[in-house]
This record gives sequence, C-alpha cells and structure tokens, in this order.
Amino acid sequence: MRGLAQAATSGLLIGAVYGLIALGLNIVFGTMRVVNFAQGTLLMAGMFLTYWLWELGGVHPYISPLVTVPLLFGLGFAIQHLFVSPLLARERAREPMSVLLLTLGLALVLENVALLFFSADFKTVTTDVSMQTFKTAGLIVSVPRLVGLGAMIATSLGLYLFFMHTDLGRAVRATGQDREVARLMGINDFRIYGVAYGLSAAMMGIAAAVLVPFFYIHPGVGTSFLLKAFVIVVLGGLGSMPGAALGGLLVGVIEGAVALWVQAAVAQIVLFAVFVAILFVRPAGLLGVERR
Amino acid sequence: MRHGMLRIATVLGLVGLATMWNPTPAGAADEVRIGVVSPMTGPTAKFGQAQKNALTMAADDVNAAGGIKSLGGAKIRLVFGDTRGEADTGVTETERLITREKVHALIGAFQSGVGFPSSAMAERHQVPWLTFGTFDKITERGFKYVFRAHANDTIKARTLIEGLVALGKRASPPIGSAVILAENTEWGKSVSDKQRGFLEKAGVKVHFVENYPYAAPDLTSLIVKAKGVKPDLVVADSYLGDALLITRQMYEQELRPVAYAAGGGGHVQPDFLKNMAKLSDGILAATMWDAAVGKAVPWIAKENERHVAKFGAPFTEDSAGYYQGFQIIVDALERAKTTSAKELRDAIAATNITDVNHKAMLLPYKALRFDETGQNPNATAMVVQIQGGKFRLLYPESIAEPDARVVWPYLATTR
Repeated sequence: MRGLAQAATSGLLIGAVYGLIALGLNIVFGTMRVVNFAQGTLLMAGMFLTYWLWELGGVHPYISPLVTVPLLFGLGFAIQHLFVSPLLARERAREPMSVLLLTLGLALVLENVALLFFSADFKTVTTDVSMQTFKTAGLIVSVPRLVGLGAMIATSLGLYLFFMHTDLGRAVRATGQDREVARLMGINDFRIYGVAYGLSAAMMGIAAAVLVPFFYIHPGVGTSFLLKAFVIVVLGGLGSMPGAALGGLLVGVIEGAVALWVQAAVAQIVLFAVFVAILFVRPAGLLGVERR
Repeated sequence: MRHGMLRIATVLGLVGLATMWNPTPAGAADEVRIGVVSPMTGPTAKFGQAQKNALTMAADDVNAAGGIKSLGGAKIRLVFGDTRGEADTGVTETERLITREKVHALIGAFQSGVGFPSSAMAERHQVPWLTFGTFDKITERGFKYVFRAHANDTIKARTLIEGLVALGKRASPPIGSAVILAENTEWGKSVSDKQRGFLEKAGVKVHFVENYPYAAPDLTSLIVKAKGVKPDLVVADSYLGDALLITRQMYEQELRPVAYAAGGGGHVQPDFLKNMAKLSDGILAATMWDAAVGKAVPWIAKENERHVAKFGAPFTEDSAGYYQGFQIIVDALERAKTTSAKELRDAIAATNITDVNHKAMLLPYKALRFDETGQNPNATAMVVQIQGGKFRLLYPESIAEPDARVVWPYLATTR
C-alpha cells in the first residue's frame, strides 16, 4: 500500500511536468488548430538555455525563466512570423495539414542543429535541490519534482487570468473560436497567432527550469515528453486548458501506479487503453467541448 | 532484325568475357583495401572517430613496416563507410564499399543493430566481415564470411555474473538476491535474459526482470518496485539517459543495494562518470577492454601509450575491437598470399593465435580461433568497477590490477 502511495505521488509529480508541456501544446492548438510537433524541440532549446545559463553564468535553473521565458517567447514569435504564418495565410482549411507538417520539419531541423552545436553528449545539472527529498507520512517526496507541481499550478493560474481577464487573452480566445469573425471584430489574427506560439514556447522555458535539476539534457530529450503531451492534450480535451493540466496529472498517476503491478513497458499499453476508452465515451476528451 | 539481335548478343558476350578476365593475377595486388563500416557522423560520431584513430595507427604501422610481405609489400588502404548509426545507411554503405570501392575485407559496424543487417550484405557478396558488436545472433545465421573475435552478449553476461559472485565471496555482505532492470529494446531484453540465467545458476534468487520503456521520462515506479523486494544486487542494462535517471532515482528513493552492476551500455560511458560523480562510485560493469590490461600485458600498455601520444586519448572498448579485427585480417593476408575472397576467408577461418604478444591480442584471450559459426569460443570479457571517477580492473584475477581493491558495498564511502 505504501508502495502504491509512493508510486502515485511520484506519478502525480512527473505528471505536473507533462501537464506543463501539454498546456503549451494546447495554446497553439486552441488558437490555430495546429498540432505543434516542434513543442518537444522548443522544450529541448529551453533546457539547453537553462543549462548554459547555469554552466556559464552560474544562474540557478529556478531563476533562469527570467531570461529564458522572454527569449523563447521571441523565438516562438519569430518562428510563427517567418515560417508558420506565410503558410497559414495560404492554407484555407480549418485544420491546416501543411502547417502541421511544417512544424514537424522545424522540429527535425532544430534537433539536428542542436546535435551539431551541442553534440550528442548527455548533460546533467546538479544544484542544491537536485536529489533532495523529504519524508512525509512515510512517503519520499522529491523536492525538484514538487517544485514542478507548484510551477504547473502557478502557470495554469497565470494563464487562466491572462485568457479570462486581459484584452489580449480574450483576443486569443476569440481567434481560436472563429478566425474570420475575430478578424471582422478588428483583431489582427496573425499577430494573435504569433502571441500564441510565443506563449507556448515561453512555457517551455518554465518546464525546462523545472526539469533541468532532475533530468538529463540531450538534443533528443523533447521526444520523451512530446508523445505523452499529445496523449494528454487529446485526453484532456483539445484546446482545453484545465483539461491539459488535469490530463497530465492523470497520466502521471496511471503510469506510476499501474507500473507497480505489471512490467513498466506493459503499463504504457494500459495507459493507451485507458486513453482509447475515455475517447470512446467522450470523443472530445475529458474536459473538451463538443464542436459542430 | 534477327541479325541485329545476334550482333548485340555477341558484343554483350564479349564484354562479359572481358570483365571476367582479370589481367593482374590475384596474388600480385599492389594495394589491399579494407572497408571500415562505422558511425562517422550522427549522434554516435564520437565512437566512429575513435575507431578511425585506432585503425589509422594500425594501418600506418603495417605500411611503414613494408606492407603485406607475402603480397610483395602491398600497402593497406582503409576505405571508410559512414553508417550515421543507422541500419539502412550501414547496409547501403557496406554495398558501396564492396561494389564500388572493391574492398577485400570489412570491419564493422559498432552498433549491433547496424552490423546485423550490414554483415548479411557482406555475406551475400562473399567478402570477409570482421564484426565489432556483441549481439549473439550476428554469428548464428550459418554465414561463412562473418567472424567475431571478441565476446558476445552471452559471454559478457557470464563474465559479469561470475565476477560479481567471485568478488562478493571475498567481501561482505554477500549477494543472495537480485533484480534486473533492462530497457525494452533488443539489446536490453536479450542481455537481461542471459543475466537471469547465469544468476540463477550461481544460486542467486532473481526477484524479477523488468523491461522498462527506453528513454522514459520517469522511472520511480520501477525503483519503488525494486525497493519492495530488498535486493542485494541491482543489475541495470541501460543506455546513457536511462542510466543517469535510474542512478539518481535509486538514490532519491533510498534504494541502496549491496552491489549495483551494469551490463555495459550507458553505465560505462565517460559521460556517465562525469555526470554522476559520487553516485557512480562502486558500480560494477562488464567490458571487453580497459587500459589497465596493460598492467598484465606490457606491449598493450606501450601500444596504448603510443595511441595516447598520437590522439590524446586511450583506446576504447570498441576502437580496440576494431584494431583487433584489422590485425586478424593482416595475419590472414600474410598466410593467404592472395586477396581473393575465398582464400582470404579460409585463412581467417584458420586463424590460430595463442601468443599474447600478437597484435590481434589487444583484447587478450587464451586463444584466438574461430568455431564453425565464426565466433571465437575462447573470447572473454572483464569486470571493472568505477572508483573515484575511474575504472579499476578487478576480474578475472589473471589480468586484474594488482593494487586494485573492490569497493563493497555500493556507495560504501558516502552512504
């Protein structure tokens, strides 16, 4: 029983990180109807930025978002502006397939550029919080992963306030609901897309800050998390922010707990079976809104 | 019309005859081309570079000493094929080396997953292939042209377990039970299966073998499960990223076995030692080569010093293996007195080296011969332990470092 509680707790904590990445994925999907395959690569970029800040400047990973978040926002905005928007402008379909392929191409290019410049060496950062744990009620809780949960909750709240209570946030939501109507209301939809992509990239700066003290850094690191994030986004409901957060935690817990009884590789099968089952009952995902 | 057809057929026939007729007798080749199938670019390019260094040194030595004497001093030319670490690229590069570069023999391909299909291409064209790669099945396909002088996965697993038991007997506490954590691709599955067999044979209770998904973001459940059975020994068969994660999470979840061993892979890479620092102290691993062999075999120490002077780094397990393959080909060429594939193949198959000072014994064994499958049945591996960020060679006793002591239990100094 203690083992189960331990596995579930750890699952919940890593699930928070999944949730952060899924949130980023969802912002882009919610506004542009594009699954951003480059999300994992942006996370990788964030992790390398965080790593170099620590290695060269001695900046603690938890401080690094002050630098990485604006930088990644700029990178995301630029990618949108230079690559995605021109294609999106020509693509009239509601769910632009060519843009999806473009993000996949971008991911491959960025990953190989990273391989070229950073080499395939694995890197880790050992800070004062790395491998720190504390015990409560007989459970071992990893400090850096707990920080991850805190960061996920804070980021979700921040996003909620942004989307519900600022003009820009409302404009992003309006564009996501209907691009043409939003444009008729005087919203510059391409600027909004830039903001959404930038925001989603910026969130990877936060996810990176959380991950770097306990995970490893490698050009291929994004892939490990991206697949999970896809599942979470669909599970929680495409475009639904609370769905992404909740889905992340759920996936983490299922994965952790199930792996106690079956082989860890089989646990993945169980996870995907649950995923299919939920979609069967609720095609729009747990918290998704049915669309016409 | 009929006439025209006949003319074309005649021309084609003559061309065919012309290509069959070879003006230079096979025995008088002025150059021997050895194809090297290696990852020269891509994520494993570092390894390819090390292999290239070792082979360049070996080839330069042979050429400087007058080439292959039985072939009238024919010089050796290395021709490199870049696999990028990918199986399909490995296969096409192997074919290119054979059909376009007309190599007389091949060495490859570092990753077993690349070498497995690439060596099949060499077999199809009947060009001798000296394997570097531990996957057992490479030499278990009834091939005639594929050879492996060094240990396979079974031999490595056996050495690791025998070494662990032997080292554990001299220390305390001993090992009574174990868990095996292995990644779920071909290598992890096959090697963990063998380790389980050898552990059970040695009377160690194996609680479970767990195959976890490669490059998983979190492995806490795995560690919690292992902790539940309180094993004396944890064996991990992991690539680098997973090795880092498992080692850290074992520490966090307070899983402190008496012994922590690795089947190779990520745990023995320099990046692992650099990143894990103190947490790596006391990890035992199986390897096929370590510079410390030089303490028991003097010429190896000298050869390694020369390599360090030239390239700033010692041989690695794989570059030493490539070097060995090269020396076997040279040895066979001298005896075959020809570069013709069939005779060269027979000469390699008849290899019989027992002198530890022979250059093919850079990976030293009692004997270097090939059985009918092409595997050297006398190949052995060795057990090393990470101590203070360096490997110490502990097993077998015959080549162990005289001044090395086993660190027992795992994390003895920091726990």
